[in-house]
Amino acid sequence: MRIEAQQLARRFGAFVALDGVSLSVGEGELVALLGPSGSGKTTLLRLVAGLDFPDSGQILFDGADATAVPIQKRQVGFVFQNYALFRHMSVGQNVAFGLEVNRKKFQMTGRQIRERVSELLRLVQLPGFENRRPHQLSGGQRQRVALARALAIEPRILLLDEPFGALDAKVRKELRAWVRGLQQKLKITTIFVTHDQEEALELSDRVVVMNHARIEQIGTPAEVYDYPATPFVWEFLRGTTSRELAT
Amino acid sequence: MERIIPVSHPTIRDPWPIRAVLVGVAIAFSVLFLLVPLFAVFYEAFQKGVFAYLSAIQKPAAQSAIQLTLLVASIAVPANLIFGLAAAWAIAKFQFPGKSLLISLIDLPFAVSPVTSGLVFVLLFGARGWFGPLLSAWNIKIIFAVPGIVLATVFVTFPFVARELIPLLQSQGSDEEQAALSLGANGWSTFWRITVPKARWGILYGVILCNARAMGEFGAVSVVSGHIRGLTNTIPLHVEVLYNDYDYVGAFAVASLLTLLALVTLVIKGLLTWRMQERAF
Repeated sequence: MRIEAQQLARRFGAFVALDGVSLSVGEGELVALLGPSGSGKTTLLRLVAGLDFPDSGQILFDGADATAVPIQKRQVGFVFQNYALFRHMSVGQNVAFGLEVNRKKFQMTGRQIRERVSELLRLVQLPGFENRRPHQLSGGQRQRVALARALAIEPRILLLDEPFGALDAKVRKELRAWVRGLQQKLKITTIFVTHDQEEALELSDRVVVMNHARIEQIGTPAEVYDYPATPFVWEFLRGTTSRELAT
Repeated sequence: MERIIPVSHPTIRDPWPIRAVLVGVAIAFSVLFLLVPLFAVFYEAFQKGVFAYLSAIQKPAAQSAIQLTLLVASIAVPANLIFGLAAAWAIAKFQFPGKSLLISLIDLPFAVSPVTSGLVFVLLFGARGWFGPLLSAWNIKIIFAVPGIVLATVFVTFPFVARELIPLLQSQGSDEEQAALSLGANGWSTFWRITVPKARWGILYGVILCNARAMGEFGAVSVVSGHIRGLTNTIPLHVEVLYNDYDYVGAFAVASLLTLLALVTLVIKGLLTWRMQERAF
């Protein structure tokens, strides 16, 4: 699905979180929202998800106005930063949740739901994990359960908030490549938020660099890296990367 | 074979006389103030044998006191459960004007003396109270009747569930609720499938404490009840009546019921605390 954001603005009291941001994401594209904390990237993601609503501006899904559509109706798969797994449910119940609460829409029997859950758990490489509890899983496993749960409702878009932020470096690298592979296999339009420039450059089709509630530059990883549009983009991509390489 | 090397902790080891005195004082204190009264209740209750105990409990006045207490608790506890859930949900999940005032108001019944709480209801609904003429015109009796006892109990036990749930819901955040919404759940099923189960041990804990207080409340209920035997006496009030009548076996037999309630409450409370710690991750 195509996503278009037009002149989105959002304030929280005196704090301007988004100041007239426009962005379009094409069918099947994987876009990274990159920026320091407070740059508005998570606010933009939450507006697209329907977890929050803009003060002004429009959001279009495939050309249709979705600005006022509540999150339940948007059919978006949202993976939270800390995964937000339902702690009182098993892994299987977590993944089945979206199908259970929408039984009318999905027209699935209990047996079909169980089959779909085990299929999804195989997809995220956690076969047979149905009866585990979230607190028995490692960080990487929890993240994949959260992904399976989000994919269960056959979302039209996938939104990931700092998906690898809470993982250690080694797991992060593995999971990154795996998520990229999965996204290409499913051909699902995906936006993810990150403050890690390496992650954004490596993973995405296009990078949206944000700062102070505005977009500084939109481009392919090569474009933003080789031809930074503003001093901020240069500093944010090169400055920290070179420091990281030096250590 | 590994040898176990003894490690000394000089900083946390006091000389034995000090330890002995401290432990001794603690034990003596709990025996004197907790165990002896507990023992005394049952000793006095069974002083004239099991038969006297059972017949004291089976007297009509005692039976009516037990029924009234159960009735009052069965109204006050669900009422405060619903209120507590609603208030905790509102306070933990939303920002609204007057929020801190609401939090302070919830604590009011803890801060006010129960006798004062009772008097407030007499002042409002009594024969010469603010709404007295109105109520007598409609022929509704609140003070010196069951409705007054229910009102006073609801007021006194108001904070238990809310107080327990507010910090719990606040610490759990609303990410799981948002996740449920994003998966297509509506507000109602998010509340029942996510929020309530997530907080279920805390809810039960609050209900248990609320129930113990609802059944055991004396001061506020005493003021509004009027002590009409067989009609407006709850268990605690009935104990006092029996005691003032020099019916010690009766008084302690009925009191033993409240003591048993307390013991059961303590056991359940302990189990719940243990469950909540185990479940937290």
